[in-house]
Amino acid sequence: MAGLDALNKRNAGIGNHSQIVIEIAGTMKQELLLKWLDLAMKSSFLFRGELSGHGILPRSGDGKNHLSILLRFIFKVWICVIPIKWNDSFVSVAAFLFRKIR
Amino acid sequence: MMAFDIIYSDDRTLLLFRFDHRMLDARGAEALLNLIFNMKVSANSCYNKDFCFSHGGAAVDGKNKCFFNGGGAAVDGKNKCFFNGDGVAVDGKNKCPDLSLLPFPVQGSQLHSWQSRFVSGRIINRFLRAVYPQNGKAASLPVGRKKPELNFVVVPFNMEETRQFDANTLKKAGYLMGGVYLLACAATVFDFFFSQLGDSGDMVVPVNIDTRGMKMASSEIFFNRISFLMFSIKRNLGKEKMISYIKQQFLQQIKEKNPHHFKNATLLMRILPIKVTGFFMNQIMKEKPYSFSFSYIGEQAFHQEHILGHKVKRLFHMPVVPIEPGIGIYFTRFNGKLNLVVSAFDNKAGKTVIDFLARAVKKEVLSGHGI
Repeated sequence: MAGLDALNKRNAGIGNHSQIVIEIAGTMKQELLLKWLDLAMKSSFLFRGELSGHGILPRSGDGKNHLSILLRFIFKVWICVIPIKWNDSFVSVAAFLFRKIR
Repeated sequence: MMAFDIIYSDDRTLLLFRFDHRMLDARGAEALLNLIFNMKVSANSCYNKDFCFSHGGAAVDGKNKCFFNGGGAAVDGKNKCFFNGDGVAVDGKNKCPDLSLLPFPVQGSQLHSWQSRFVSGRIINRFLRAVYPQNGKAASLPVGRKKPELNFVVVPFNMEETRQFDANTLKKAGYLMGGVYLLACAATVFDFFFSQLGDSGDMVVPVNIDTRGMKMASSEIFFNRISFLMFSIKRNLGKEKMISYIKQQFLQQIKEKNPHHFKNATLLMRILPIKVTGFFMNQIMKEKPYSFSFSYIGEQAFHQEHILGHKVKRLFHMPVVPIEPGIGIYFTRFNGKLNLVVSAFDNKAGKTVIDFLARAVKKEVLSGHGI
């Protein structure tokens, strides 16, 4: 319970982010964790740029891709305003228009 | 977007993984941690020249340090590896293999099938209008100052208490109805709490649910894949009636595939930056506030018994609750044991209040009687 008390006291100032907490036995060295994470990141998809290659994140340094994403956003903004209004008639009209345009 | 914090306390360590919901939802984050700590480097692997993993921790060339012995336990840098800095075993037989690359989570951004998403939006729109009280606002906590900070209270259940919860669930709500029972318990406490505040409106509770299967594919880790069930709960029902009332709504919403429609309609919002979407959503939610947020994750996505040689004792989530309703009751289960987390913005409920709510909900879960 002492660990949880420390956590409860600490996290008031930890910022507005969701967290997952793993409680482990013993004292894990910070250096060990850092090395492991470094290892994980360097050997994983996160830093190999593969996410960007599959349309999830913009490819680093690829200006054309950024531009195409920006244009896609601009083109589709009008669509996403409508569901935010959350109104049946708007949704129906938008769906009809979109079918026609497509 | 992601950060780790370490808190030391007595003979244990709390490892905090903070993440942004633009990238992951809670169960996805859990699965990502599982992926990271499940790298196949348990034996015979080296990284750089000072980070090796060996079976026995026996002597090597006297230069390199080893972090793990054969049992997977940390050896504080005193023991030495089988492998030298080039990853070649000193006995000349074994070679340090390449690190196994993590499986790549292939997925698209799903910016297509607009027609079906609009249809889902229409269904959900009608459902939301039906579920919200027609005669005014739902019971909700009053808003305080403008720049709130988030507070959490964590209340763990031990194995005996979790067994008690399972028994109560089976007896009062039925098989596989843990979420329904827990929601009824939380609603019973909030019913009492709102009465104390003089708010007599019906409660409306959004419940986060995960539409992924028990075994989550690595392709489903990223993006927020949460869907919702929405419950309208009348006041002063008493716990027994509340359970059957919630159960009835639960079955009806599953039958009408509401979680699917919520998820499908929400995909429309991927084409807007999250801050813009969040702004509009918050405006909508301020007009129609909900009573409290709730979720119960009964299936864990993190399955490691050890992390870097340390035994994992407990895992729980500390989710950010939406600005409205500003307070949430979240249950998770890890290694069979239940955990309760109350998350709230301090402009809605102070530390004392959420402490009270957490204890009251736990008492309610265990007692099986009304408050």
